[in-house]
Formats: sequence, C-alpha cells, structure tokens
Amino acid sequence: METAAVELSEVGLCYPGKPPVQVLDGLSLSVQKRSFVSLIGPSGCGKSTLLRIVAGILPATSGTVRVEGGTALDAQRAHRFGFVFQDAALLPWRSVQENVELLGELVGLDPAVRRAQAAALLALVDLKGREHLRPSQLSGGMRQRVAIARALVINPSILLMDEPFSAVDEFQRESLNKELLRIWSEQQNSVLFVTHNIEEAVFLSDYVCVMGPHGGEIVEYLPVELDRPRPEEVRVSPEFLALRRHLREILVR
Amino acid sequence: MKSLSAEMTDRPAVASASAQASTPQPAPRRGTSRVAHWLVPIVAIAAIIAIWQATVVSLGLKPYFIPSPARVAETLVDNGRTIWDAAVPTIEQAMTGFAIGNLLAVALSIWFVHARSARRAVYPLAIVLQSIPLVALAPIAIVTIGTGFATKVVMTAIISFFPTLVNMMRGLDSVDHSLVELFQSVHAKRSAVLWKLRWPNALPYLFAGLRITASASVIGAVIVEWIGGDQGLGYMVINSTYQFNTPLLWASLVASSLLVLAAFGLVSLAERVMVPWNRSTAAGDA
Repeated sequence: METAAVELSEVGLCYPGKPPVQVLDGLSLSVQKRSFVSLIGPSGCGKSTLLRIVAGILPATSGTVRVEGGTALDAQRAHRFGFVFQDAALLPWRSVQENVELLGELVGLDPAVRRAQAAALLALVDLKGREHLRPSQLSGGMRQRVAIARALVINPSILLMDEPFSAVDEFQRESLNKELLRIWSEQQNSVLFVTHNIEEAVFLSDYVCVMGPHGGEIVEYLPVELDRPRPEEVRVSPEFLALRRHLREILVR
Repeated sequence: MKSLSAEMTDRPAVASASAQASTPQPAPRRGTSRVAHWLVPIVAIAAIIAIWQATVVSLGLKPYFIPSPARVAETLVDNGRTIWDAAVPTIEQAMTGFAIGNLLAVALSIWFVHARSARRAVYPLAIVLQSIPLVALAPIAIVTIGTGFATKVVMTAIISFFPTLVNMMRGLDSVDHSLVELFQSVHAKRSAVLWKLRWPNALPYLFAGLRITASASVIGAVIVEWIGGDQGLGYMVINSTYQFNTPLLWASLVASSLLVLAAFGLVSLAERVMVPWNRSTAAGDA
C-alpha cells in the first residue's frame, strides 16, 4: 500500500496551565495521497489546531504525526505544504505577482522559474492581467484566489486550507468551490480542508471527517461517492442531498 | 407582491446611482475638496497673521514688546545671513542626533523582537530615560560631557530615540499571525521572517516615529543651545532676549519653526516614496 499523505495516530495537544487545556485528545486520521478530505465540526472542536499540527506549526504533545512517511518538520523542510488561511493574509506592500512569488523566494526557487510559475498560476486562478495590482485593489474573492495561487507556487503535495471561503458571500463561495476543484484536478495534491459549511464539504470532498465537540474525537468518516468532475447540478442530486441531510443530523444533534 | 414591486423599483435606482458614480462628474468635486483641503489651513494662518498685524498696529504696541508680523519678516530678511549662520550648527546637531538616536532605536527594536529577555531588561530603562525632562537632563549632560557638540548630539539622540523605539516595536510585532504561520509552514529562516515580513510591516510605524523625532530633534537642539550653548538658533534666542532685541527673538523663533516644518516635510516626502502602499491608512503616531 502507498504511504498515506497524512497519518495521525492518537494525536493529542494539551496546553499546560491550571487547569490544563486539552485541545485534542487521541485523534487518529489518515489522508490518502491525492484525496480531498474535509474536516467539519462545531466551533472550537480543534479543526484549525489539527491543521497546524499537520503543518508542524504546533507540536503535538502526544501521539504520532506522519506526513508522507516522515515527520511534520521533515515535510516542512522539504516544502511539502501549501497553507491557505481564512483571511487571504497577503502582503499589502507587494503586488499580486510578488505575493504569489513569495514562497518561491523563501524556499530558494530560481527567480525565472518562480516568475513563470507565478504567472501560470495566476492564469489558472483567472487573475491574468491583474499581476501588478496591490491586494487592496482586489475584491475578497480575488484576494482568496491569490492566496491559493501563492500556496501552489512551490508545488506542494499537501494543501492545507483553513476555512478559506468563509469570508466570501454565498455566490462567490460556490464559484470558488468549482474553481478549487478544477485547480485540484490539475495539480493532484492531497487536500485537508477545514470548513463550517456542510454543502461545501460534500461538494468538494472524497471524505468528510466529522469532529465531535470535545477535544476532537472523530464522530464519522464519511466517504462521498459522487462522480468527478462534479458539475454544479450535483448539488441538487438525490445522493448529494442525502449526504447533506445525514451530515446535518450528526452535526445538529 | 408589494415588496416585490418595491424591489423592482429599487433596483434601477441603485443601478443609476452606480452609473453616476462611474461618470467623471464627481471627479471635479474631489478636486475642489483637495483645494479646500489646503485652502482651509492657509486661510486660517493668514487670518491669524492679519489679526496679529492689526492688533499691534491699532494698539500701537512697541516692537520690543510685541513686534508686528511685518517687522518680524523684515528682521528675518535683514538678518538672513546671521540667522542662517546660527541655523547651520542647529541643523547639524539635530541631524546627527536624529540619525544616531533613530539608528539605535531601530537596532534595539530588532534585537528586542528576537530576544524577549533583552526586551524585559532594557525596555524599562528606556522608559525611565524617557521620563526625565529634557531641561533636567541637559544640565547633567553639560556638567559631565561639557558644552560641546557631543553633549548636544547626545541630547538630541536621546530625544529621537524613544518615539521610534516604541513605534518600531509595535510595527515589528503587529504582523498578521497567519503570515507568521505561512512562513513557518515552509520552514523559513528567521532572517526571512524579519526582512520579508516584519521589516516592511514596520515601515509605516517607523515613519510615524521619524515624523515625531524629526521635529523633536530640532526642538531639542534649540533647547540644549538655549540652556548652555555659544552658537545656534537656541543661543540666538537667549542672546536676543538679553539684548531686548525682540524682533530678532521672534525672527529666530520663526526660523526654528521653519526648520521643524522642513524636517517634518522631508520625512513625509520620504514616506510617500518608501511606503506607497500605506498612503491612506497612516499608522498611529506614538
């Protein structure tokens, strides 16, 4: 069997203090290569924390984290991660093009290569012709597309997305969902996608991982067996609606 | 049905409003407001000068008591050479102190961001230093270092130090946490976090500090010359006071004020060039 992109076993995170705060406790999860997995659950269940543990930004205090067969820090050093945040978090002093090139600079990509790569990605996220604008001149949806292009510039094998579309309106969210699937089908990376939105989770994912409210036990690991590519109409198909209802029942219970 | 029709009538109204906004029509209005933007303070200053002139002339006040603005301007022009000669050492002191104080502040702020314990050790000392009034510190400096150039530079450096330190620390600290995590996620070096993230983020704050210290260093240089100097604008102030040459006293005051304005203007100009992305949202001044 192929090594998993991400393999978490019995992972816990406890902040020392009085009383100590157990954010995650004994969580196990496996993300296969090139699969799209959504993490969904109530606020404060530790979804975002989990993403940061996978990226090696926060160290787990118990359990083991394996990323492509190595540790999270190994993967960090090998530049395997692309991170997309809730807020686009672009550098206001850089143009769109320079923002997309940023991670290329940090990992020491050849300037010509990263310039070409950034240009190609900006075309991919449909921002051709806006290379020289500053982030303040873009709409929220455009900024988030720049953030996605920025994450992809180093060809990460694992894309970590922390509620990337929660700050945009419903219509933009749906078109960004569609775009993300198109981009993902070209890039073929593994995606770990945190969201609050049930419909979004079903539409995007191969698996929807539902986390419980306390310290992140996994309540359900639900496969989404809808054909790809998924057209917009799939949102109203009986299978889609059944999955949605099922998730709703678990989450609202 | 009623609400639907309301919606229907609302929509074209919105559309036409936005269409209007995209026509060049509002542009002249913006232009006018820009003229007004400059006109208001100019008119206000002109009015104050006019009232001053009228008061002095109508009450027949003697120039050694309060000179009229015309008399001050005349003195300024007549003694232009003398005043310029006095201004040169003041400018030199202010600029040297400004440079040293700010360089030190920037260097320390960078050190503090990377060494929390250094920050805890040194920062309170900086606050204590800042809390001592300049007029109390100047005599001490004169007694220990003497009345020369060095004393004055030390004093202006002390004045220039603190506002920039405080602003820089805020600027280096107040980076978007997501961005720090982004840098971490690719295992970026600390130097990359500093130069590609914290430093550009701090630039607007740095300029807020520089704007304050540019004026403060000139004022500080004048005060130190006033307390114990044998040259400079501050010395001219005290000298003309003793000689009851009130018009010259006022002229040197105007000259110092012009210097402060020039310093402020130069820093603002540099900011426009170096921090173009931050034109509208100025960082808080201290």
